[in-house]
Amino acid sequence: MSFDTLAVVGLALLGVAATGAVVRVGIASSLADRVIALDLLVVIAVMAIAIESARDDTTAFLDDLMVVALLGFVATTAVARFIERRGAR
Amino acid sequence: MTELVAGGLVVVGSALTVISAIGLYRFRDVFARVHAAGKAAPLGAALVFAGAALQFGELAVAARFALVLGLLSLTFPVGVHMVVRAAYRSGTELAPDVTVDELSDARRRRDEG
Amino acid sequence: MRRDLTLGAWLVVVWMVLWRDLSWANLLSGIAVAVAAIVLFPRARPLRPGSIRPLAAARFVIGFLWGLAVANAVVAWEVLTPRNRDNEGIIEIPVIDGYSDTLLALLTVVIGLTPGTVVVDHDEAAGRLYVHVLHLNDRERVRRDLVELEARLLDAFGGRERVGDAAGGAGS
Repeated sequence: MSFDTLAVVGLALLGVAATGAVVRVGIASSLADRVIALDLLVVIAVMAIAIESARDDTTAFLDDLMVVALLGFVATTAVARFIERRGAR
Repeated sequence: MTELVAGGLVVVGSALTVISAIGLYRFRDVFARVHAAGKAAPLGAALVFAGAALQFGELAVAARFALVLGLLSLTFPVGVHMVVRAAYRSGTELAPDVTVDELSDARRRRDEG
Repeated sequence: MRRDLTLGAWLVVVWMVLWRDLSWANLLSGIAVAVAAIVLFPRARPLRPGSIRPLAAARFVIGFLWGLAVANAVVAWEVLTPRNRDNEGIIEIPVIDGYSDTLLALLTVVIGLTPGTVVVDHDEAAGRLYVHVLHLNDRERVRRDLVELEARLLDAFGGRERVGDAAGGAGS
């Protein structure tokens, strides 16, 4: 059992989670629902980058991690403000 | 051995994330759903980062993961709160069988008083 | 002023860590960026230096992390088991004295990270916080637990933020 095998298992699980989140975006009943699923998707993306970086033993993408996480937060907040102004539909 | 622990952390963190994704479907209204999505995400990320940092084995890398985790832990709940607040203020309904809503009671009192 | 300097120092440190290169160019550009950030965002005030009591803060963080692990496990279990035992509701809690804006933000984050609770709204005028709770079986107990959380957080991180607090905490 090497890290590589376990990492692939982890990535597969994240893939399942991501699929769930994406489907949620599709069948969501309101904008709030969608943005929550998308926020989860952002975190999943960050985790996937981290796992893949560890697998390939490269530190090149660690900066991207931070940017993606921050952008995810900014996007969520922006949509939240939008919902407050224009309703959740 | 380190590899095993690192890999284990990654798998557990990913599994937690799958659970939180399931939570998106299981709960009946927006407010309950954020509990599922919003709590497990930073924790799952913490485990995955711990596993990845362990696999790298370098302090500098671990420090950067710690920084991202700190950032995520501080910003994610704020985002969740803002969405919840926006949803409530724009009139999203709680699940039909919810009996306790002191916020709407307070609002009604304010509007009447 | 001291607050700004501390914040500025931290910003420069983070800046240099991000660039991973301790050069003079990074130091100067870091200072420039830090100054710009502080000037452009005057409402983002950090906690006053000296408000964080290390021992209480460490205790709080450890207790919090432990509670976090346990509660997340509970929520995970509940998501997986089929029976619908939810019992949610929104309750109102008072914000105890001495809470500054920054500390309130920290409280929102802590409540947000704790499984089962999330802050919905805040009535500034009345000083009340509205929290959505996933398992509201005993309303008063949850209320008390949350107020106790407020007190512990204030104790750990809000030391000097309290208005009119003498050393040792004589009543105000």
